[in-house]
Amino acid sequence: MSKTPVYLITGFLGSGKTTFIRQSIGHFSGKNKTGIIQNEFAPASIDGKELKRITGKDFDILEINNGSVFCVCLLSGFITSLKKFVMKYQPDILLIEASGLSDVMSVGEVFNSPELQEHIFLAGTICIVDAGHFMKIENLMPRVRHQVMIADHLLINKTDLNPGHRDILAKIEAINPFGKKYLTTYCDVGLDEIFQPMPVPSWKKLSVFTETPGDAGRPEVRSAVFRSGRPLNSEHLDEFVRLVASKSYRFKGMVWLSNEKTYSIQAVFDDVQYTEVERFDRQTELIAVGKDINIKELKSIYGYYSKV
Amino acid sequence: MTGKERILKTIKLQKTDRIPWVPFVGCHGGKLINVSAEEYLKSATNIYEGVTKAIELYSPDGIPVIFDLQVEAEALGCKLVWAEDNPPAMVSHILANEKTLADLKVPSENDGRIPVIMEAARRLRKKHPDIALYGLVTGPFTLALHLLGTDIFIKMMESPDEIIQLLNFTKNVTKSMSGYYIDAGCDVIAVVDPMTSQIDPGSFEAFVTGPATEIFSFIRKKGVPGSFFVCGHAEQNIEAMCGCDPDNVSIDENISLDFVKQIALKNNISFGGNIKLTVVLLMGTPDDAHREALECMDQGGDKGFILAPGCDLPMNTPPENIIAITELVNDKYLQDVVRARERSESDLDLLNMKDYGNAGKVIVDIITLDSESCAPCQYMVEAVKNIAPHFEGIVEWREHAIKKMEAVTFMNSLMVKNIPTICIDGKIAFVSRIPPKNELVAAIQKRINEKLKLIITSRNAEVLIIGKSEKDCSQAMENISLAIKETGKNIKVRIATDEDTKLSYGITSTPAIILTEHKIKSQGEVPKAEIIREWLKEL
Repeated sequence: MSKTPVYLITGFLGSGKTTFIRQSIGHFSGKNKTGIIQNEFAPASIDGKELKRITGKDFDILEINNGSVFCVCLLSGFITSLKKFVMKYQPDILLIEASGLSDVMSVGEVFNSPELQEHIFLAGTICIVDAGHFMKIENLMPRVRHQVMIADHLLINKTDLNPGHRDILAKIEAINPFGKKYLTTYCDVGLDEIFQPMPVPSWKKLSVFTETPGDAGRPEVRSAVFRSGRPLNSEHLDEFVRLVASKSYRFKGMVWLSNEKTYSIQAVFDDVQYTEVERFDRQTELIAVGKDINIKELKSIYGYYSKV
Repeated sequence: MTGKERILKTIKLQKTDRIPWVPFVGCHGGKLINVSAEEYLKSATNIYEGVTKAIELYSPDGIPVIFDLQVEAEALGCKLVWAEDNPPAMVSHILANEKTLADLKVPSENDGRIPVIMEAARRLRKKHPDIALYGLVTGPFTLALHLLGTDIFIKMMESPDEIIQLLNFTKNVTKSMSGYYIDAGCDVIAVVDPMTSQIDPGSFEAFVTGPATEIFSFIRKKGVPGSFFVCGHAEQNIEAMCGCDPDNVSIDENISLDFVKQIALKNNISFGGNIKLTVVLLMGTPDDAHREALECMDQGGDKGFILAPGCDLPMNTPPENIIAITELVNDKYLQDVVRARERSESDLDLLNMKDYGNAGKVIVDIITLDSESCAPCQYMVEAVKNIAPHFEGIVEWREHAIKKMEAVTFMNSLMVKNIPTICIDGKIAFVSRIPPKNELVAAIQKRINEKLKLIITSRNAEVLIIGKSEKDCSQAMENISLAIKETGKNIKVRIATDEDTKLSYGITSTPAIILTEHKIKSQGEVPKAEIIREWLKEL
């Protein structure tokens, strides 16, 4: 069975996550069955019925009643309800609206669980940045900054109201050099680019993939989300990154090194890039997506290169 | 030493017989007695029975009465939605639109579920005098967030005085709750303030430090130690948390224990944590629990460290995973076993390569990242590939791309540190440098010569004659002896006339002559199967 790609939509309160989700539902309508997971009690939440009335579109929504998926203690219920939801509705694509307080890595880590790995994989993270608040909030709330650091796509939204967005772009560039940035109003962005299917080079396509047009990228892949408070030996960064990249379709994240530097890395197949970034916490956080990669192996390779 | 003594001594940074252990049993207690989270957290009897059951099963040193950060907010009028297998969720924030701060009063011991919880605490105290009973109170910042909602973050910037007043109120609530728990007999008060993980150190000091310091001073005056619990990414605030003068800080898996240990001990404060909740305790096996708990214990050390999960145990945590930790904490031998196993796995179980070069052919190993994607690796492989045919089958070469874990093991076993590297018969020959053709040929030739010498000195042979009797074999014996004499070789001749030997060689008619050749491959030790496999390829 092919697995459902999951996109995490992050961003501080009022940045435009709901608008983005609404646009996405329209985008997939008629092509792909969309599943939405959202925090029932978020003040700006989409009312499922209301949305169906406005758009007339077919999608399924799961509202989770855990307040906010921000804390590891609350994730267990999330796993169960997520699995039930995916089995029942079998969406082609799943969008999870994470609150501005949530930790993308903790949420992503639950996809490592054997029961979820069968069904879904973490395909990407989209962070909506409120051009009005970002500069202030970013200093005040480390999680908001982290959501920006880890995102694949960054929408700098409400640029019409905020002429200072060029400074924001520069700030974001410094903490997340590899994420794709878009200056938007009302989250108006080319969704084909954001939700493009997992790139698969011809030689890896051989027998495994049977992608058909309109398929929102569903090769037999899985995601491995890994965190460590132990630094990688700085002499082996290149070897480590190339080794994991060779086993992944996409590999990205932040590596904390034994020389106290943090590198942002991004690899699409063997095309590997990394660069130093400033980081406030001493953590390695990695997301690998591929057919052959799994969390156990990623952990063991990291363990090896942090000890040598 | 009782659990309670162990906890209290550890909090004071005194020596104990072992690391104390506190499973944070919250609504998980409900699972142990088969009631829902709602039935559990609303009933003194259920809490009493659930915690008692947990104490029976897990023999902890300390345990909380309950783990529910909604109690105070509920007593102040916020609405809850109950779940089957989770603590309740807050659905309304009373200060968001219903009331103002002036309308709120610090809850008394009779408001909301507070009397239920205190009754459970009193009964547990009586029943389990030797266990350290933890009273968990909602910290001032988390409570403020419950009351006001996420607007608090905007207001911290736009109207900070309002938030300072709000925290002044929530501080009084936290103090009162602490007092109720202490009066009910609790030994430790844990101020649980997870939402502080969301703010930066500057905001922490501006809004939280004052109230928290006053709370810990109040708790201490009541004769009980206070612990500051946080969960989430609060690494930026650990120093500031220690500055609030608690007796202990406790963290979850989002922060490295080493990091907290360093800061806490520097401030003469004990610390606790941070067994992974979801990935290990909920989804893992008892074996995973052993490894994880041991890693925490080894990092935490035996001074001022309390082993605990990072936060409230998920309701459906398999009890066997928690039991496994109790087992580990109490069994030094088991700790050694788990530690040794972990070490051998993480060192990737090196192969003994001493006899690797004893194969008949000369083996050339090229350790690469992957010759398809790494150019130097590719050139090195090509260099070897090009010269190998000149040796007409005597030289065998292989690429070990360390994409595969087994290749990493191989690389470590050969003590190779750089990529790419050429090894000849298990010895490092060229490191990160593609050798010119003549150099490579010379190196291989040198090894062939060494080997030839070795082969000549180590080879032995024997001729076995199988017959019905000595007489049956005598003609064969005579001819063989003559032949050996003519060739000048030192070969033994042996006669066997027993039925077993005959059968074992599958001989049907005699006399028969068997020629055997044997070669000493190793002495005094047993080589690994991987190495023997190489030898067998010669046959």
